[in-house]
Amino acid sequence: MFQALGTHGPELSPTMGLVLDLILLSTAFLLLSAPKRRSIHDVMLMATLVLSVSLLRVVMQPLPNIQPVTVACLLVGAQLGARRGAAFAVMVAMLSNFIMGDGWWTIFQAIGWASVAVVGANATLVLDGVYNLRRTCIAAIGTAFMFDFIVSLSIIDGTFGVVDFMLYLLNGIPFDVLHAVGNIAFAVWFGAWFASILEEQPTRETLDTTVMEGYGIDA
Amino acid sequence: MDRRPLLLVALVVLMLPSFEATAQQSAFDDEFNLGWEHNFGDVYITTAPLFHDDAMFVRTSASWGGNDGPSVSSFNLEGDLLWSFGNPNSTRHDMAPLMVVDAGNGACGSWPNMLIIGWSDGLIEAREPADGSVLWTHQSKAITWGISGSMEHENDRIVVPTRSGVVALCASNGAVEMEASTGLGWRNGVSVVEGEYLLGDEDGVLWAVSHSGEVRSLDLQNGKIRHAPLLTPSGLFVQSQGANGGTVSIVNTTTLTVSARLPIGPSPAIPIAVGSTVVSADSEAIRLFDCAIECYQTDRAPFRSNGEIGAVHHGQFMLPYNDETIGWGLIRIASNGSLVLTTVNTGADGYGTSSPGYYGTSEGEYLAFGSDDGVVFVFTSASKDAQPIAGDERLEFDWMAQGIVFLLFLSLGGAAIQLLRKNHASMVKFFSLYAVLIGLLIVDGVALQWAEMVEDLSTPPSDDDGPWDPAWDESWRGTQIVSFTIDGEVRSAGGFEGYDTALELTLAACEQLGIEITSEPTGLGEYVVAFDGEEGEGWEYSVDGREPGVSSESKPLDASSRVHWYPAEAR
Repeated sequence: MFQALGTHGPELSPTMGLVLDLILLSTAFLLLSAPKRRSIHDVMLMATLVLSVSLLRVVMQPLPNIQPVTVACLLVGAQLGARRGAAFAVMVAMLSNFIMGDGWWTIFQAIGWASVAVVGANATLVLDGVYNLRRTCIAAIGTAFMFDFIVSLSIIDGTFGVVDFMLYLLNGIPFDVLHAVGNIAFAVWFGAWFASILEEQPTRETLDTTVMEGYGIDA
Repeated sequence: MDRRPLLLVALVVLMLPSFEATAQQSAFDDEFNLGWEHNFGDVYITTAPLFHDDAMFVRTSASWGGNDGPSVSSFNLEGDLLWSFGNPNSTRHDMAPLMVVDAGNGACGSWPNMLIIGWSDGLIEAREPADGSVLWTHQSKAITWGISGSMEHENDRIVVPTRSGVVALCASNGAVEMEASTGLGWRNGVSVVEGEYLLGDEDGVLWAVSHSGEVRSLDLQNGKIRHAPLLTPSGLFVQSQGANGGTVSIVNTTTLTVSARLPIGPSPAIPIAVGSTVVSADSEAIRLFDCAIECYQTDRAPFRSNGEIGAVHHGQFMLPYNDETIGWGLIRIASNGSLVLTTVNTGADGYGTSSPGYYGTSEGEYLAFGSDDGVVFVFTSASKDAQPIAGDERLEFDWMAQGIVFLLFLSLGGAAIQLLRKNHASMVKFFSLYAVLIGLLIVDGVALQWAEMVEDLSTPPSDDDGPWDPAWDESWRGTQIVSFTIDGEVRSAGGFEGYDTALELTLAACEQLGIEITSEPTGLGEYVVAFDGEEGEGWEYSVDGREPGVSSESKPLDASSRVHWYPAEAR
């Protein structure tokens, strides 16, 4: 299953890599499947988001720990909910790592960004269609450290003690801070725009129901 | 209350790094052209080339596994080799600075112009500068190595710091006039102060030896003393290299007591004094001290240098950066006493420890830079040699650097304008961009410093170098040792001296053991990929039993460091 224990967690064999991708895909599918039928618009929106944010992550790879995906996950969680936010996070982690390098850490990145999306869904970053920059910035700072911590867990194996792990975390603090600063920049420059394109448009069925309820007509 | 003026001042202050970034342009390229260069082969140049009477003397040192041995050579100013000789008994680490003594006479006789050379096997030679012929010699005792520090000339005496003491030789014939034992030394240069010879040792003891050989000592207890003590108006300036950083001690030479101590960074360089000003450097910074009344640090600039510092043109100083990219630091002391640092690339860039040699004549000025690759580059002032050289770097435009500076100004300027317009949301936008750019520019340096600090915090202060392997040669004690665990087999090499970083020492050990090393550059330093073609899951290393959080090329060593390389999967 695992080829060896490396410096960044177990090295995956090709079979294990395939199993890992299947698990991640299944997770994303389960998170997206819901009793409510999604419109083609929703599906296209999600696909476009996943593709574009993955591409952005790949393009920004040379910049150390500048992670546009974190703010994207926050806002997708805030606007589309925790389930779709987590699905978005899993798919972005998987797709971008196809290009940047797949491995054990993909699981932790997927979990990390999914957790960010859950935070976004519960932090009231957008209220009544109004983007709250201050709350988003605070969440962006906190989730930068949270994500980096979760991904750091990938280094733990049988030979890595608690003290070693604490030192590893301490050594990473400058990069965690840079992650947080980058998140703030994304939040203030693109947050409002990104939140607006994610805003759910009412379906025709919803509009009909609203009108009928307004006029006291039984459906 | 309108807080905008306050915020505007804060923004202006934040612009200072941008100004500093643009101030890195150096006038060196406008003044000097590369005149000639000479490649000495598989050797290092670890002490400054020395000019005298229109001739230049260059000494080289070598690693134990190298193909070429150490030598001393003489050139004329046009680059023609006049003479060259080696020492077959050298232990190869020859880095004692050369010294020229002008002709004179004294109580023990008369002497002509002489070039004085101290060798690593303990041999002291006086040679005729014009043709290199031997005038006299004296053999001092070598213990693993012999002479590695700077010498002095006092009246009719040549004062030489030997491995285990100090010897004063008659300048006329090399006869011993005084000899005294002190502690074991390394780069333990000697100073002549008020009729005494002052030098330090590897145990951190400062020694004062009188003309007649009476010895006084003071244990500074701060680490190794690896430079000639400097006399300043406030006292003797002595640097110590400790396990967790350096210390400057100001010593009263009459009572031999410490009057002040100042903290400095790790692995201090060899300081230089001009009047009451002392220029020093270490792995953290270049430091300026004012020692007119009481010695104190007046300014500092981030830098990494662990070797010699040289006085050059226009009252400036130059020193090598101990890394492969930065090149050389050129220091000017401004009229307000502050330190102005620019950097220069000369071709002799990367891991050097020798300062440049400088020579000024009415016809022009010369600067000679020795590299760790065994090449000396001699630059001449533009007024003498005005024709442009091929590939003039002044015409090159660094788009990346200029683009970043432009973005810094744009983002901060935008923030200031939006602040004045009371558009705080837009101000935050521009300022966040500025913060990201600054963060990207400094994160590598900050991360390295941070990792070293974390390592220091996590490691209790100790001089323990880790367990001693019984298989090691006893003569390796007190020297630098490297071990490799390859395919479960441990191979070791020891007896090394003077290597400043783990990577330098590793390369020397690989050369001696015949191990092929493969490495590749990364953003955080050179990364060792394989030994003898074995890549495994990567390679890790420890120094004195501890795993550093930095690349091996950034890990400073002391004289008895033990480096161990092992496969990552063995951790």
